[in-house]
Amino acid sequence: MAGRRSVWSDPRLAVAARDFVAATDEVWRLQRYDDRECRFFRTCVAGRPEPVSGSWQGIYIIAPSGEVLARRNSLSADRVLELIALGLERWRALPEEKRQAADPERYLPRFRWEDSRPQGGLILETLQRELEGEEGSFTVRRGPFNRDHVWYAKDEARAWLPAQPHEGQRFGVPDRLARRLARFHLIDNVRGQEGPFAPEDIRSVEIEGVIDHLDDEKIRVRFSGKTDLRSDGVWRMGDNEWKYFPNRPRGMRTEMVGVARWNVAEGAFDSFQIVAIGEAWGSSGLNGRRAAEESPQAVAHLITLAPEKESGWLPPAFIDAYDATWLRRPEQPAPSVPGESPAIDRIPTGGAEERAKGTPSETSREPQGPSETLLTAPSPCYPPTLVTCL
Amino acid sequence: MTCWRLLALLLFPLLIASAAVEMDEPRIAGRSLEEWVGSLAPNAAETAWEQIPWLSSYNAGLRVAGEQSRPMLLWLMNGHPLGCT
Repeated sequence: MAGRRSVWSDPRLAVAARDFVAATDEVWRLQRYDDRECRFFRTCVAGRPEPVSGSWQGIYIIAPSGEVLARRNSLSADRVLELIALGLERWRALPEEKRQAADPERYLPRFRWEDSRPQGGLILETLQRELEGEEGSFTVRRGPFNRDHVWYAKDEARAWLPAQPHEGQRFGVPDRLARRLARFHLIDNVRGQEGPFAPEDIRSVEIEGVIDHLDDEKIRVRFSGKTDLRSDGVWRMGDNEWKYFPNRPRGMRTEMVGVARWNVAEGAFDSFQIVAIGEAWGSSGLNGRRAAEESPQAVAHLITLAPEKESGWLPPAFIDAYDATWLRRPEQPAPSVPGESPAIDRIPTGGAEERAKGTPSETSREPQGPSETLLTAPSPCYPPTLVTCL
Repeated sequence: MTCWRLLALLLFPLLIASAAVEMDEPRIAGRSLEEWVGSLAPNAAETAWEQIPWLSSYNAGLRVAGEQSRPMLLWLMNGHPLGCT
């Protein structure tokens, strides 16, 4: 997250990036999943297709063959510029036969969550920030913020309105929709990716709507609601990749208001805004609030329609834990990697206080400090990528 | 009858005002929804990193790099760099 500010907001990087095809991805999946795309990545980086633990976060310069020309993990724009210059130098020194593109049959994915993006559904973008000051006079802290996406299928999008709406009508947003928003999106991820809440963590979730205006073209609805979710730090969501999170006592309480407009002709919302204000407490070790007893932090959530651009197409972070039957899921769950143990196997036998202490390095998903190690020589791909990489 | 008309004339603005209050922008924690949206949304400096035309996957980067015969600049994080990270 810090790299967005310290590296990629530097105008020198915007210029340097013009010599490349710029791409991003989530490295946890690339390191661990048994998918053709992931195996190809691991083979090109480490010379073998087996899943690997630890974190390969960082910046890579890669030839179209998949060959890694240089890589480094740094939050320094100067260091990344050095890397880019080195990578470009190595690319220009490559003989023509080593510039050939890899065969897409070897790296195109069999499965990505993006393929389940609900056509005609409701795709929302969430943004979280910290607030300063006292309630009633909060100011927004212009520091770290995070964002995510919320997915509702087409029928779920329509269910944000009553079946036969009429002006002035009050209604409750169906539990399954409100709970998805609260469990997976009203979380404390301002300073780092945070885990979702289990159904058992819900103390209360209520979102109410009132039809403000209705005509042949549009339906305007106002929302209000409250949420209260509290985890005792015990993992209860079964076998998905979030089981690797260090789970500790934490909670989130919010109140919200919102306005949305349903376009009758399109059968979709063409405007959607909810603001939820609340307080977060506790920690899972990834949200920058390590001690469970740390005082609550005021936070704000902004929920709007996702933009129609590359970043807006990304799936929700907790998509594999979503309670949606319409999702296409991978044939195999998140694989286990030697040396990593899921949180479900690490539930401490002590009380909440003992669990709250935890250790900062108890999972490889823990944010890792940038390594200044610079790959000093190109990393050749090993078989089966030998032909295209060397 | 005149009294009723007078009363109606006096009450009509109140009814309009009452309806207007009902339609006011929702408020929370001392501010209107619109004010919150404006203050929470990222500003230009906070979205400067998005001026780079990032593709959102390793495979898309490889494919386009191959099509254009250019090297790929790949940024990887735990959590997607363009989303929740």
